Amino acid sequence: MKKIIYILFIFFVGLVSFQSISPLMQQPKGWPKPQYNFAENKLNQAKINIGRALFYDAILSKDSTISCASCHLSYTAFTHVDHALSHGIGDSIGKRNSPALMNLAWQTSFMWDGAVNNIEVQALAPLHDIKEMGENITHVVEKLNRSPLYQQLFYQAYKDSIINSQRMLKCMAQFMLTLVSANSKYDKVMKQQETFTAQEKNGYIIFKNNCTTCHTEPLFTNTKFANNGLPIDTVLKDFGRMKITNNAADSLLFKVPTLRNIEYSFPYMHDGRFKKLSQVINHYTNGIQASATLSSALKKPIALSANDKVDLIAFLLTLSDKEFVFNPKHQYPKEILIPTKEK
Amino acid sequence: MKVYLLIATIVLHFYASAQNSLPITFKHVVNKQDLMLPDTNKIILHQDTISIQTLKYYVSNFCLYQKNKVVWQEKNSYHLIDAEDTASLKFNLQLPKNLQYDAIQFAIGIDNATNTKGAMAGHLDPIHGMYWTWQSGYINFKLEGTNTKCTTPKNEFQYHIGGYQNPYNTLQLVQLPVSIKSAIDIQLDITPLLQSIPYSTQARVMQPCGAAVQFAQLLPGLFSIAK
Repeated sequence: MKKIIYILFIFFVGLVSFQSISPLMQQPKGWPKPQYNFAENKLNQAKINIGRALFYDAILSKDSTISCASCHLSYTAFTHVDHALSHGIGDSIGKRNSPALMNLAWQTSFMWDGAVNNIEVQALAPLHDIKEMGENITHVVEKLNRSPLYQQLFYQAYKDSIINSQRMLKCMAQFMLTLVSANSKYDKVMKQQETFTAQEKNGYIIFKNNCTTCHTEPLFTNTKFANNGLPIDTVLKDFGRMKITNNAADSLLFKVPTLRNIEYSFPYMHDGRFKKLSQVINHYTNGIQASATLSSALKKPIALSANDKVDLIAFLLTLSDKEFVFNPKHQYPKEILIPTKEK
Repeated sequence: MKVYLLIATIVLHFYASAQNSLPITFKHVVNKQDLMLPDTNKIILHQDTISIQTLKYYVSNFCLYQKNKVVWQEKNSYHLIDAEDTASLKFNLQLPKNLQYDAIQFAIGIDNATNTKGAMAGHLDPIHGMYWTWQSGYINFKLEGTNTKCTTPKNEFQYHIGGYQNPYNTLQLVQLPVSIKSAIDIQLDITPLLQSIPYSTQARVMQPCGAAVQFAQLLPGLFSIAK
């Protein structure tokens, strides 16, 4: 009997220590458990492929000009680099900077104001927005049902010919969930595979002393909302989270973005007002505008010398994950969307 | 082999007969008349001329009570009622045989947990136009039409009542006493609702807010068991 218990014990220890999210997605060491419930939408390569195809396919937009990737480019950590505000169909311009996409399985809400409560329903927002894709889900599902390509892809994944919004959205979620960035120089230093330079090391100390309340390791966001003291843009008049909660205490609060891959994801802030990291840091040292909802972490002024600022930027650049931004699995799926004709 | 088949058939037969179908039918009434959509008749209420274009809502989490105790609950209990679609007005509850009950309860709208569960299918599929896309969450109750009192273009009013989080949770419970019958007809009389809406100041409610909660709180009192 003891022997059996021992064997069972070893078996369960084995299960726990080898537990990963899925063979298709590893849990980075030292990270918290993902917030997403993978048991309800088990990762599957055929479904990830559908999600990836849809992410890059302008079929989601009303006039077939805009795909998710139009504003979320893989080479720039899935944001619209060099665009303060993102573009949609018919040259319309939205009111916010497209957020960089990564490590979404660890998020509980999405969009700058947390308007979306589950990654599975995220795609509905840009799809319906008249300034983004201007479509509606009913019509998109009809288009997919008419498409021989998607008929084939869904059949491969589900072994039947049903294409509905639930399947489409769950597949898109699968692709987005696999966008994990956890292999920057910072990560390698933490795993003691590399070392910081003296400058990066000093920058890390400055970071830990001033920034971690909101940009908490290892995700470099606490996934909460905060007013970071930006003066309001009088044209956009964007009050952030208050529009969602109808609560004055949420006025000017926006989602704390991750700092991972910040080198690639400029311009910065919810409205893309800063082009350079130095402008961002100068905002935190000299530009904070006091208001009733200002984050308590920013009430005490942050004082940094010119050298400190340079060192802090040197540290922030260690959060760049080249493997992530150049991962071919994240890029345009030529082999799916432009299949070569069989000879 | 044949014996096994026979036994299986008998067992299946008993299993099937152990269930009782209870047909539920929703009926809509305005100004003492049946509401037929698309509505071509003008409704005259006091000095207002009203026309209804859309009446769509979710009823969910059906359960039966006996002496204030839950004796039965429907699984995956989500039904979209669309006054314009007669097929949506009728469905069956599958009850165990000889169940004793004296009240029926259901919610108007979709509960908090389901609102955060992600992409859903069937009646909860967002293709039905009962899901907000700019902000996650189901529209629990939708009423659209025109009223001469509205100062909006074409005198239109639009009430999309939803919100699943406090303080703007719009989910409402309805409990109605019933006697054991072969069918239950549930009536929704929107007349008192049409009379209490502040059209001139609030022709639209289309997000979770205090006005949506006030609107939702009017709903349970409008349901009754049709005679």
